[in-house]
Amino acid sequence: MTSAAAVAVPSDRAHIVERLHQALWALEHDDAEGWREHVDALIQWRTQPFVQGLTRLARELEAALGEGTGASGASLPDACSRLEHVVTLTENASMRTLDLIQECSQLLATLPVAGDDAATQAAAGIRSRLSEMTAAQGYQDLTGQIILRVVELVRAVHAGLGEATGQVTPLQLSNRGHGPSIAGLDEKPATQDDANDLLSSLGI
Amino acid sequence: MDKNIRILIVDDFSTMRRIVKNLLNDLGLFNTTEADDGTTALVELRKGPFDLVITDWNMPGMPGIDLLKAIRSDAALSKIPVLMVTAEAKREQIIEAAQAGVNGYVIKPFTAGTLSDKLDKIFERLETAA
Repeated sequence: MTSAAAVAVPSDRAHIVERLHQALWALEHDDAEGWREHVDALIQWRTQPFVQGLTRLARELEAALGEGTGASGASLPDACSRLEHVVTLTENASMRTLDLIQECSQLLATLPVAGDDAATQAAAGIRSRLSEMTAAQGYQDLTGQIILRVVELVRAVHAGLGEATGQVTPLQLSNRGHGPSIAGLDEKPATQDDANDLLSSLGI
Repeated sequence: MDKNIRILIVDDFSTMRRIVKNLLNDLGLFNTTEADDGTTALVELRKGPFDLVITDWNMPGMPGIDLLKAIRSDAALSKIPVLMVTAEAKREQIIEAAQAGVNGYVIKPFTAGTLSDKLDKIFERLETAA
């Protein structure tokens, strides 16, 4: 901030000189209100280009991130749509897998009653593995929660940029939960064993 | 365990509702109803008697922890066992759920075996208490 431009004599010099005189006069005559008014006017004059610059930057950033078009597809709303599409794709894949697991269970039920222990055990083993395959499809819910949280964050940033350029939406995420923990990003989550210990220590 | 018990499954993800329903079916439990957040769950709960609620925590609208508190503070519903099945795994959240009167807590991702164990435990305790 020591460049020649920053210290150049201002073009509205007469106005500044007058403000400074008025501020000095107010100070010498114990006029607190007048002193504050003139000093505030000087501060505003000094910071105005900075605020204007920030507002312009925010507006440019908003335009760059909010209106990315066509081939580049670099806009924030576009990024959100892509992420939401991933959630839909995994949901469809997960539902399809659940359909197939149910069909397998139904096919298994049509087989003749097992004639020996080995066949009975094999049928039970297949049934329990089909149940675990069903539980494993829960990945769709977990990845979906993480992706939707990122979408919410990106939308909040986009809205926050709008705020810096004159809109009034506050930058705020909902507080309905944290979603799944991610290693390296979140604090270490409780395991099922931790939860069991904690609950039994609480009498549950 | 009575296989005819009526169970309400509450989760905003349709995949997870279906997973829980299928796993209950694998255990011979077929009498299930679904809701996608706490508010719609309360509507279902007030319509008819339920023997168990299995709920997620993180849902748009009313989250599972608020549903649990609403159930415990409603004289007509307060005795219904509630099993929380959630990715929310912070120690203080588990304690909050316990203090609000949860009957079991399953952390996602879970196995079919874990879900079955927790259900057995809830019903064992109810039978002991009865």
